[in-house]
Amino acid sequence: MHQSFVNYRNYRYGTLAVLVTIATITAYMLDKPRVPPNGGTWLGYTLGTIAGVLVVFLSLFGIRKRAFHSRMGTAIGWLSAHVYLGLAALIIATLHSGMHFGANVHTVTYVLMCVVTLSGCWGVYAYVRYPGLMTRQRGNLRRKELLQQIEELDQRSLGMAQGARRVEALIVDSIRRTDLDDPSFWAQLRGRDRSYIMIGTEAAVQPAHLVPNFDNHALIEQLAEMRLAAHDETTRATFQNLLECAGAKAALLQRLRRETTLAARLRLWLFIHVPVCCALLAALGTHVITVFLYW
Amino acid sequence: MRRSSVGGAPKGAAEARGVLIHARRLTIGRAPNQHLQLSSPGVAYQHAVVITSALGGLRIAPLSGKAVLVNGRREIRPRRINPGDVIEIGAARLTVHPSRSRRAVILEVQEPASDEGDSGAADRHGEASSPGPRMSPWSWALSLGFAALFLLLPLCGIVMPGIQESLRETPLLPSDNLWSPGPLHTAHQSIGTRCDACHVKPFEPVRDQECFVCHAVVAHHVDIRSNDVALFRGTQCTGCHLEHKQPAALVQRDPRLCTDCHADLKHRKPDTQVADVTDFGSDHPEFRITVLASTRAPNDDLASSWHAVRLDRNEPEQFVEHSHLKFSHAQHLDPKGVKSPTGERVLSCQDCHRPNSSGREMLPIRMETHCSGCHSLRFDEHDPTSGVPHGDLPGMYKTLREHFSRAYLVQTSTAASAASGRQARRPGNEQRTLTDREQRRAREWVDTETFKIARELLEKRVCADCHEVTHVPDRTGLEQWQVQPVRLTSTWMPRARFDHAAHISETCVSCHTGAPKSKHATDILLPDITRCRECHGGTGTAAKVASDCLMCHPFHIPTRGPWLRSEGISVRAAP
Repeated sequence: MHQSFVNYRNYRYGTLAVLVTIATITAYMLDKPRVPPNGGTWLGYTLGTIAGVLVVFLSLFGIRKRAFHSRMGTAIGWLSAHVYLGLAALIIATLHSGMHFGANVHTVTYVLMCVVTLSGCWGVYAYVRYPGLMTRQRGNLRRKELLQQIEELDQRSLGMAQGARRVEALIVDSIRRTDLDDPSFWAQLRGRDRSYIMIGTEAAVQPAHLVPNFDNHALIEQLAEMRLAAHDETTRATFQNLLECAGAKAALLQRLRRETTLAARLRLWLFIHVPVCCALLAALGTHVITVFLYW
Repeated sequence: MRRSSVGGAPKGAAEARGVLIHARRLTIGRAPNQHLQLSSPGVAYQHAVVITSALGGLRIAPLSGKAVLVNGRREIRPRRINPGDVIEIGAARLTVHPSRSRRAVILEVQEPASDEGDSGAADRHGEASSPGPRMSPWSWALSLGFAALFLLLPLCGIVMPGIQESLRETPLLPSDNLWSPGPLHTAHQSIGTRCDACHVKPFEPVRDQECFVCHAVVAHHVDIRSNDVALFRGTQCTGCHLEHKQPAALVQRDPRLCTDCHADLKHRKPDTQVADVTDFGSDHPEFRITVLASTRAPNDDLASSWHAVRLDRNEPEQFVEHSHLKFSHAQHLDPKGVKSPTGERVLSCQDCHRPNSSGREMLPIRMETHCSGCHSLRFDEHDPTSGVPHGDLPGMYKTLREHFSRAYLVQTSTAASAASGRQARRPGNEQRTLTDREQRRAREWVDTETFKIARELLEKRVCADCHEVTHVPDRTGLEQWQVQPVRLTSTWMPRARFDHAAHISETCVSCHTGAPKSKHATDILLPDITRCRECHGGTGTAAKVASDCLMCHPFHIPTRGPWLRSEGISVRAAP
């Protein structure tokens, strides 16, 4: 059976998390404090300490996963522990709070913890679901192979267009202005094709137009018009080939963009998880300091 | 506005071509939608724009944070471009050529030919990059923001008391109130937002002296002059009175706060009279009843002083109240009624036992209020004015003497008038004085009548109806009687609180069951614990009224002296 962070070492950390959770819930149920349950009873302090240590430990995963040469366990083991103990930590923190909430730093800390844990759950979902989808939709082709196929199509088109100045200018510009590496994360997430093409560059005396080239539509339109205007059969056949290349490239681009979108979705939760986790660490420190500052 | 630019192809002069573009803003960058698309290293997605200036002419404006060099100088603000200028964007060079129009510019574009340059998509975009907003600035901003908002700014208020008030009073400004884990009890809300009223020393639990600033008179649990005070060394106010908890409560009522000591009090205080207790429902001693008892002074038959004694219900012969009153509840509560001046009257408990204004306790029974309606103090049935004072034996004798003296005088003067006919009263013609013999006769008669009636009142009716009258040995005449003074117990269980008003749904006899049959005033008619337990259970009970220690027993006992003094704490002035 494939070993992922979910079933790492036969659910070692899942079992540990369940045991810890059951133990703390049992302690909470059995404990009969003299005051309403809260973070200030001995059990409250104990649970708070466990939850606090867990939060710090879980945050260390961010460091461990970048330390590629670390021999402190495996990254997948750390991830497994991170996921399961993270869920347990939220339950322990809830018990620590004694269900007392209000407009204060303590509840803010708890809410941040909830946000971090929920975004983490989203991350688990993303890591379980999207890699499989990505593999399936790109049909066993690696991204690099997709790009190579696109490049081959580009070269074929350029080769066919050679000599015809107007067509070549059009093809060159469409290749130049193909949207392959938009660095905007949100653009990747949306997965819109933001390719453009400049039409009319062949004659310097007439103004050129920059038009969107969504899925090579503008290029295909231009080529189709040129094909209609062509006089001889050979030229028409060339245009037909160019059109086929443009269509094939559009299909490949769609797959590429879908993959980019999935890759972006795979990371989207992290932009909540990591910064909010840092805020949580600050809030946790504040929580601990202020509780004892005003004991 | 029309603007045209002529750009050269990147791959050397041989392949150069011209493009004419009309645009209001000429955009320059790597992105596909830029008018002038540059693929050289160092060119951003959207790098710069060429715009018209208000004064005419054209300017190049770098987009925020992007580097544009004009003639080798880095430009941050829009800069006018003139023919001959060389603009460097990344590795690309744009040379400005003179044009005929002020609104047009001719740009010659030179991009360095690179080995990989435009060679192929695969090389340029090898593997999926990991784009997206950079996380570390956000992470830093959020964590520092939270630390500043929730810790540093409120701390400033503590370190600089000058700004403390404005921080606390201004809405949306962070102050140490953000650290409050829960609401204050309504009784403490006057403290408001001044956390430092109680939290005086940082990193130390709230101390007793902060409580005593306001609660200086709070009483101790034990007599502060006794050694028992030592048992409470280390006991903090916050042991029972915890704030900022939800639900807000002034007193934590967990019975363990009491039973820690009272489950085995002898262990801590060997000479204690207080019985051990752990739970009202299952482990609470039978109530002991405190009654007043009289002590007789030596050589005096009269009860002279009263003191409280606690009686054990398990010793029935001692479980009586000696109030020196004669009273039968059974007789007074006779359903057929009792004799009264207005005929037979059926009495109920409330006719005598009336609650005070709080409804908690009963008003004391008074002869004048509750008894005199029926129990007249007249000694002469035919004379409505012939009443003796209540509670004053010499006064009674005096009243009787006056009564019979007057009677004697009236009698003799009536007899004289009858003998001599009607005589007008004239000034100077006063009633004649009695002779010594007549006076002696009169005194003897008055004494005899007074003694006769006094004996009747004290031994047969009126006084004797309700009071114990004793004879003083070796005394005769009026001095031989003594009426034992009556003191009725008003607080039967001074160590506990009972609220009659809280039990209004019950009838009197549902608890005081013995009342309708009690024939003697010595009977103690208070219910025993079994009676209470019919409705009241222990702390954890679900089927009955869950009753903790504090429901009946106060911890701070008013007569024990102020706690503050027992610890010798000096308290700062109240803010």
